[in-house]
Amino acid sequence: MEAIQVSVPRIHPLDDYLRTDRLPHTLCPGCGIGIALNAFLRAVSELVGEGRLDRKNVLFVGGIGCTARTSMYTMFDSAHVTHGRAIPFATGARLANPNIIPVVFSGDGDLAGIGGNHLIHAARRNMDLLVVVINNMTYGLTGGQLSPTTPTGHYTTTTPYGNPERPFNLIPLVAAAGGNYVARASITQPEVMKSYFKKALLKEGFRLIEVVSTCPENYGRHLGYKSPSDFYLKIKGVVKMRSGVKPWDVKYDWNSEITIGEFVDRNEPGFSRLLHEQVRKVMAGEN
Amino acid sequence: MSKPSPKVFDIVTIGDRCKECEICVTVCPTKVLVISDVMNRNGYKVSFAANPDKCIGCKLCEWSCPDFAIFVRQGEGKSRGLIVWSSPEKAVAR
Repeated sequence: MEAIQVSVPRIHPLDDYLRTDRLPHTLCPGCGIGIALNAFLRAVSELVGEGRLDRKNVLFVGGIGCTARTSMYTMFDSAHVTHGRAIPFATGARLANPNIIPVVFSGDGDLAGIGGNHLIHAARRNMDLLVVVINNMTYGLTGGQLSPTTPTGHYTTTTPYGNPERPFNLIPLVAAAGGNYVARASITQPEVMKSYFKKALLKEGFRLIEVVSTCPENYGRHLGYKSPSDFYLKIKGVVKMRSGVKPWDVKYDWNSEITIGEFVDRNEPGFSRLLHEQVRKVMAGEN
Repeated sequence: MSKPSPKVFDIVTIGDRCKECEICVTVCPTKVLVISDVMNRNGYKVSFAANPDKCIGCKLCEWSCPDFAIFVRQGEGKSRGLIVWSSPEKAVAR
């Protein structure tokens, strides 16, 4: 083919933010995690371009799982920590150095399953973290087991006759626990997802963005989607963008609707600011 | 008035990274992209802009590529579809 040409490896617009020597990454063909990472890096690169964010301040943390492996490919200070403990790690880093912006980029099994309590309590404290939950509805890395967000009736490796449980709906959970910003995006609307990342990166307090994603290899095959595009088009059909919806009206139902949009946007003081003010007062003898 | 048309694009696929998931082919609203016959070292046939004249520059393929393997940039003269490689021996033409 005459179109072949040889060029330098760093050619993609986002290559400044990627460890290109490690690409292609380990994720399966058509995995939605890559699309979410793409949108996140675009949000960071736009904010850096506008001079509103210093990329040296971003701390990129992942636990265990397919999504958390993206911390090995991003050109930030990144950490890959134990299962479910990405939020405690980021909390400690933020309290030690209030300048950094910790981003927890992990999956639903890691953050809602194993680290579920950390998620709730970080939201209760209004800890200054941006938590991105890539919800692919399964434990993909270990072979497609049931996760807390698998919809009822779905076939997985550990539920071969259908899932009898009800799934977690993370939006009302975190909204009730007290997050400052709660939104849900979908990989089928990457531009909307980027605008949420962009807004949430600069906010204070606890921010949660859930991204509805796909796992075509270990989960989609059990559901009968033969190619990544089939699963992608199914997600595109089931997500509905709504504005002005109360968090407790947000639906998470595979058969009718998965609501996406921004549901909570508050401006309450974050834990780090309150703590450092208290420390200053105590040290000055005012308290 | 021989100003270059703003609607001329280069659709560039990075051959080393493509994994043949066909998401770019699915999302393209004007059916610019196809799966080509060129194979990379991992055994995936890389996607290629076979009808570059139809490209409207929406960049949905660039935004939706999970592998950072495709992007659209402003072209000169005429729209082109390109496949680039980090080194020439990475391509395995079929």
